[in-house]
Amino acid sequence: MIEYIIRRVLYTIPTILGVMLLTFVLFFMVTSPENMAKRQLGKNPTPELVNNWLKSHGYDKPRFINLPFDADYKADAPWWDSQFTNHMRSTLLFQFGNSDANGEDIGERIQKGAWPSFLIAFPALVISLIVALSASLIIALYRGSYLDWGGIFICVGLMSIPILVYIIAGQWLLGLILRYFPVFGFADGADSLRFVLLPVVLGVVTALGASVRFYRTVMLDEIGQDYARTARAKGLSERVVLFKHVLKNAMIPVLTAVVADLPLIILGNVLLENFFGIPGLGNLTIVAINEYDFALLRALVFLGSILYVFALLLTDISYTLVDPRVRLN
Amino acid sequence: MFDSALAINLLTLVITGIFALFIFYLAQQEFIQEAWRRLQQNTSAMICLGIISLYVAVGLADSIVIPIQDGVATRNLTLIDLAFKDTPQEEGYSAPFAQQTYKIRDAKPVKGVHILGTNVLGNDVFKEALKACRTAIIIGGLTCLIAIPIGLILGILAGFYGGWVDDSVQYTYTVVNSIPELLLLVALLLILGQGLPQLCLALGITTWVNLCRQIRAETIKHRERDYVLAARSLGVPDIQTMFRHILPNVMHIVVILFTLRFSGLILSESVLSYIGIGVGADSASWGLMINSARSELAREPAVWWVLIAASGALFGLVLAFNIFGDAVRDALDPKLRTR
Amino acid sequence: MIKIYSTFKKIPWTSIVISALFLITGCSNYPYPRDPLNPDGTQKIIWYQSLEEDPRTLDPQVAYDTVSAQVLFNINEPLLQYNYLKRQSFELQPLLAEGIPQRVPRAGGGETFIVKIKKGIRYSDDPCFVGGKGRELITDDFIYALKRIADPHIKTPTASPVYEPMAAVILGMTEFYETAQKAGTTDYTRAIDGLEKVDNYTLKIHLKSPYPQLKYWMALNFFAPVPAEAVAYYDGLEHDGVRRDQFMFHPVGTGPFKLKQWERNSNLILTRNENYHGATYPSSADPGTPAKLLEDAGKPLPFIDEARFSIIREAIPVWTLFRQGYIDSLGRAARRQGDTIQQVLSNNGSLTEEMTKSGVTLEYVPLLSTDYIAFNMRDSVVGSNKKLRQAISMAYDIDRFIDFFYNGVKLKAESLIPPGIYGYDKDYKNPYRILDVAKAKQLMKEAGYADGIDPKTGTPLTLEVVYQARGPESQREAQYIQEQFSALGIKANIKLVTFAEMLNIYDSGRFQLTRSGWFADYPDPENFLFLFYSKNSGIINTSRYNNPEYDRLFLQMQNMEDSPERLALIQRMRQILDEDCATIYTFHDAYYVLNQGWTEHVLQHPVAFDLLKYYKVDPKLREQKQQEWNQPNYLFVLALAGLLTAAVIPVALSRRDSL
Repeated sequence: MIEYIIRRVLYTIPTILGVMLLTFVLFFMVTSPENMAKRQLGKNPTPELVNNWLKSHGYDKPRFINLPFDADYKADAPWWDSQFTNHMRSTLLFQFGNSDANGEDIGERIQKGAWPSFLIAFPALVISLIVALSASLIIALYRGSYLDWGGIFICVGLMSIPILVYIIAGQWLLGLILRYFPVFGFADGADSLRFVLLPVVLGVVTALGASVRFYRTVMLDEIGQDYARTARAKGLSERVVLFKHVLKNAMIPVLTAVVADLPLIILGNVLLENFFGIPGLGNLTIVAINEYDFALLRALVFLGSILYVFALLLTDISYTLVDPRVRLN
Repeated sequence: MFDSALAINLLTLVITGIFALFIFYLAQQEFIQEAWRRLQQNTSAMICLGIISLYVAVGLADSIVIPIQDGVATRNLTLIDLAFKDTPQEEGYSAPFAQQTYKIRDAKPVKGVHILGTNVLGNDVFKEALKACRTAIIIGGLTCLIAIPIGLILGILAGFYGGWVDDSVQYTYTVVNSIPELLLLVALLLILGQGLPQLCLALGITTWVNLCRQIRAETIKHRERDYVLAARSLGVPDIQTMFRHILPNVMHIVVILFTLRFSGLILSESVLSYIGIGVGADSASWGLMINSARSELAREPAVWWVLIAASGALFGLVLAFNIFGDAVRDALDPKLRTR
Repeated sequence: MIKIYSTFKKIPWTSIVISALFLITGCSNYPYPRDPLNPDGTQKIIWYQSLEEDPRTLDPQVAYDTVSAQVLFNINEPLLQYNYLKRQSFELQPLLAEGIPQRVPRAGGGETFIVKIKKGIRYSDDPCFVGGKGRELITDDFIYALKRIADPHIKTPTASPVYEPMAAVILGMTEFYETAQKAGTTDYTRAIDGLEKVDNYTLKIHLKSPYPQLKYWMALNFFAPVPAEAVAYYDGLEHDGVRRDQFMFHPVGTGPFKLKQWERNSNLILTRNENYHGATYPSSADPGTPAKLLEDAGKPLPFIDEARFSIIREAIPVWTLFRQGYIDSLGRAARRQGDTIQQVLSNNGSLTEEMTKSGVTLEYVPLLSTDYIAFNMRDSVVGSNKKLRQAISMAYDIDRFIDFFYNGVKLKAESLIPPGIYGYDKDYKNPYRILDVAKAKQLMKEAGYADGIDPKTGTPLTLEVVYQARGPESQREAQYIQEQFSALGIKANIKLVTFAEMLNIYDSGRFQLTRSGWFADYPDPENFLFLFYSKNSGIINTSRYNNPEYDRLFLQMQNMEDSPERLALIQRMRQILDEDCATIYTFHDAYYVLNQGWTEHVLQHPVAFDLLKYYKVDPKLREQKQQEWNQPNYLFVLALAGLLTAAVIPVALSRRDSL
């Protein structure tokens, strides 16, 4: 087991390196270090000031490798001393540096934004998982009835509405007409419950359609398996078969699907956070895009990828706990 | 000079052509014929197919250009433009079937009948919603045209050869998949710039991954089958084995994923429009219409018909695609799990 | 597993439990934390408002946008201020200064401003001061602040074109800037010749040439004093191992309020400055000012204890919050709403009955501003072809634009100078802004683009218009421009960009046409005419207009007092500009503001932003109305729960035994 986990952890390293290479290429294509310098240095910086800035931030180095063919070759530096290796080192240490737009420390902003995002995304994820699982179990139990047909139709319907429409309708109905929830705002501590409720409800509703439909497919798939038939032949009632055997086996595909949403727990839901004024990372993403704040965007991309990779790792490990037969080959 | 409007019209026709060829190719396949027979039994699927064809027809009608002599200049009008040629432009918003424009002060009489009202520029919303069909079809179609070949070829190669080929393909898609989709799209669109083809390319880059993974898994199953082993032992070149023998056997996955993904792509466009990196101002799109409703609904009294028209049109197509996609999956492979 | 099974059996009950939970927890749509109390136990009087984005900076020498100004002016005070109640002719009053600064001619053609500073004014308490207590304001703080304008190393989140006009007149400023530029760091011990400290309360500003507009600059945030301690304390460096935020997030000033909390992206709270030097509500006003506005004349300011700004980027929540009574004023804080709230007006221009009944009042605010679409005069197509520019200008219909997008609120612009500024002529009609498509087509032919066809390619002339995306309407606005251009057969490609990118483009000049505009810093025509002075090419002179005659007239007009001669010069300059058509004038900005019934004397001002201190609210009435308007409606949820139960029960019952 330990050996497997170690092996699995080692597998993630090249992935992370790849992500970093990709973000490096992507973001250094969009904006040149000269532009960054100009934005940081204020009014009409002279070429010398720009050069100084580039030097002090390591942007005078070659892009990838310090070898004589590169225009920025530095004879006195080792061959590996390049922008890329520096970028790798600082991001790996989670030193994201300062925002391109207003010079704030990015790490601090991310830390501040992670909790509000978590408050919205985590309950939404858990509740939608529970609701979707129970709904899909019910639908699977009554497969073939009008409940099944109607349920699927509702799911597909829910899936076909853009999230913006949900938010607009939700704020209008639940905020303005029924007056249950505040349409905007956020507070710390126990008071945050009021503000979190409506976004969470909307988060659950938007996720529900796709999940129920998918989980139902998974359930039906499992119901047709041999073990379910055997259990039924033993005289166990349909419900026991469903809740005891099928549910357990269906957890693997369900887990896989949930993992894909895990980075969102931290990164947040861009639209929900914007409409409800939740000061989370989704909100920050919009700010970063509007301000062309590439340093911030780069940090968010990297963070999201890291989270995804680790979530993947955790699921792989938890597979072996759910079902001991599963082993990575 | 490169005329982008004309290019996009051509693009629609080309996409439709390629898909027609593709369907023609599929129709030759026995398993598709069989699935088609099964699909025909399914009334709701057939209705949905009808709806989809209607949308495609509207999209095509908006791409066929007829030059109209307007005074000295020649104006290129599409069939949709022609159909609405006599619909007058109003002075700003007007509600469906309204007699007056929307403004309370100096409201002006409405010159024609607008079944879905008019937008802020006084243009017919029904026309705009119809014109947006083409954008939706291009987004779905072109993105799939970009993603399918990449996913298919890489998936088959990885599954067939295994070893380092497999490792590198798997590695590539894990890396791409690791980056949160929205952020990757934003980054790509900031590099590529705003526009319909750029949007499709960016969506294509994030879409091929899932297809590739499933094709690879399916190819691995087929790799060990007798017919492949036989072909290999007879010395048939690998290329031929892959594309003559394995390709038809994984084709159903392409069909299933395509029908299921299409609707998701149209929905993503509306989110990207919100962030301000959608199709741009040149093309009508449902995402743009829904997005503009953000401020329209904040008026008093609210302008609701643009939102209703756009989300209704979008809902129709996406719902039809979703139901049809489900039916196709059931007909082709009831066991395949997709999300 | 049995557990799940048994809950499942109770499905009808769960929906009832859920609705009960609703009743307990979600029974309020109140969007703020509950009102805190003052130390003495009384309830705090809080002003609630929204901002459409975070202030870009609260550094007084850098801030240059309206959102930042709305916050900053309540914290940092400049030397002078405008009379709150005088709008027909703007009247400057002393604020930190003791009287209006005296102007004395200097040998060699220049002049000196003698600024007396009020004694005993103290900064608000802040940890940057010794012992945390705000110290007294002295001359050095003004000198320090002005040196900061000439500091090339102050990071500017948005380019602020303040240095150049100041360096052009204040002696020694250029040298200070260039020395610092060369050295790579700024040495604040170095003196600027033009800034002379006479004593702790007297400052002399020596100018190279007469510059009467300097008095207006003294009413802008750039002339707000800054304690050097504050910058040293909050400079973003580490102190005792703790990293402090930058100064731009921690303003320290002498104003009626100080910054209590700023959670980026969420909210910003100002609270009373305990050391405020005190001020009284103005007792003089324009003739015809309603008596109600003068009721509180002579009373001490400010009236409110705290101001809470919520940062809300979306239009729908702002409008919803206002209708719920949770925002006190809707308008400048949310300009997009200010543009659309004409919808609550009835035929005669007053508020609708429903709105009046709820006590809401309306204010029309014309701004000293001009919006235009600038041609890039250095572009090879539009820059060199005057006829083409004139044709486009003649065919561009702005009345419909204003009607469509702004409900007719804005005023069509005929020329550069807006109403309220010397030199505005309300009877003037710009010959190239009279909508005449036929004549425009004729001009197109003369310009060499008959029917919009580019003879070089044989296809329609294509122009790129760079347009700042300011919200969901921008794409519609872009479509409108395309429609207008297509009337001449021109194809317009609209490139929508963000504010940050827009500044880059203004700076670099990579555009053919772009939307631009100017919002007056101060009410003087020079502040508009300088937009086309060739030496300001870049962010100010966006169109890169260069006309030697215009430049000559500008320099002549610049420092004159208002007089018939000056008016003649201004009119000549207008004629030159309008003939050259470097821009398509669009509109002078104006908008509506809605105030709730419990607010008193809440007014906007075209140039002043230090307005919070004049605002008054009645918290009792507000609370009563809020409760009245926001009674939750539980019937719906109960009905929904009932419906769900009804739908599920028959299936549950019918299928229970068959399985």
